[in-house]
Amino acid sequence: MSHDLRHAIVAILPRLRRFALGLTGSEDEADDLVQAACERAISRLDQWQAGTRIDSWLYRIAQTIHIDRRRREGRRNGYAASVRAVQGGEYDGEQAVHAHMTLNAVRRALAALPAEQQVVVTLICVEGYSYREASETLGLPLGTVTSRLVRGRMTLCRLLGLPARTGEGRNTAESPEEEERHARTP
Amino acid sequence: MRELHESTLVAYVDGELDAETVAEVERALATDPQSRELVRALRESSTVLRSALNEVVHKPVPEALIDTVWASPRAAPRPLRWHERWAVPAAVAASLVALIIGFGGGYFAGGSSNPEGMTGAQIASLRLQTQIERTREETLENELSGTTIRWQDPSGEGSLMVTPVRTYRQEGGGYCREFREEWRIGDRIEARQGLSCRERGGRWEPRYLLIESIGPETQPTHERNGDAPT
Repeated sequence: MSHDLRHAIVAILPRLRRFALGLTGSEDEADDLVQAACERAISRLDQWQAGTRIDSWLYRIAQTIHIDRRRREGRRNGYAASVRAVQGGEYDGEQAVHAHMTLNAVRRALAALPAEQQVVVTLICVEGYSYREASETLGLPLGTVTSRLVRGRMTLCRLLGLPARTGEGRNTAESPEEEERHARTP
Repeated sequence: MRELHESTLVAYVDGELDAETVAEVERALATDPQSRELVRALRESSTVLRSALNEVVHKPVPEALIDTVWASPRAAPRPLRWHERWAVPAAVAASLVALIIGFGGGYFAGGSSNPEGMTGAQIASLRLQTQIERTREETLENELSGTTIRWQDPSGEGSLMVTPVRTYRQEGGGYCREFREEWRIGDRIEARQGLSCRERGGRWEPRYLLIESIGPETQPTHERNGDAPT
């Protein structure tokens, strides 16, 4: 039983690395996160419920660790710094061209989102989860998933210099990334 | 539908709308160039996201990660390494453990020291050591490697900073964890690293404790993941 589960986990590792890369933005940090997630999963193999998706179980473990770590290190360290890195880079918000988007810049943009939004965006846009699957995997209400997804994707479009509407959402600027956007220097 | 909301467009792009709403959205899009732009931007951002992350799926997974998953001797296709690391310090450890036993009033010997004949200070010290032990056990039981836990006795007489460093699986199936810690009782401070193994019943027994530094003035000699003491 444990043997089969471990086989299944090893088979999922490539996708778990991709998920972790989406959250951390660098391969080293991604592997560090995967390592921690595996460690936790292996110590709790008995908590996996037969009949449920083992990849979802691992994603959930990984995202919990990631969000905890981000909270612990403080938003200022990771988040604000990476936002500046993206904005100071090859994008000026208006004229960015798809061809200029390097892999790393895209990763940095995703890594610049608040952790809760990264998780939802990565699960749905990269791992191909439906909204419902994401809500079940994360144990979050559907409404929470969709609002995080929308905020995350709109910010991402802006960070990538894609033409996203800017008139909307200003009045509901409750999230840190909105504050950051307004505060940024022209 | 007079105005297309962002969330509707995101759901549209993600294929989360029913056929009827899709038709509605497409009718509205026909006369709303700004929303069409956004739809295109959303699709494009998903595409670049996937291509930026997909590469890693095709790269070989580092051995260390696979090792972590197979970190059980019964199922492991390769030999474990923890006992090799353990073998070297173990020889050194014997004398150091004796040293600690000397200081600890028999606590580490697992002895049920008779409190009779002990001074009040000795009893207080023993009580703090017990709490430090318990805090370390809880940390090893619950915290991930790399997480530093701080504990302080309400009296201010004792404190502990402990960080699990690595986790191994033993031959018998139980877990062992390396840790670093710095504790203080009164004005005595010790920084040390050790290995504890989880026994049946959930107790974490120290297998060895290597003292890195002792003294009232001692500074910790190791980095704690950039986690500066406050």
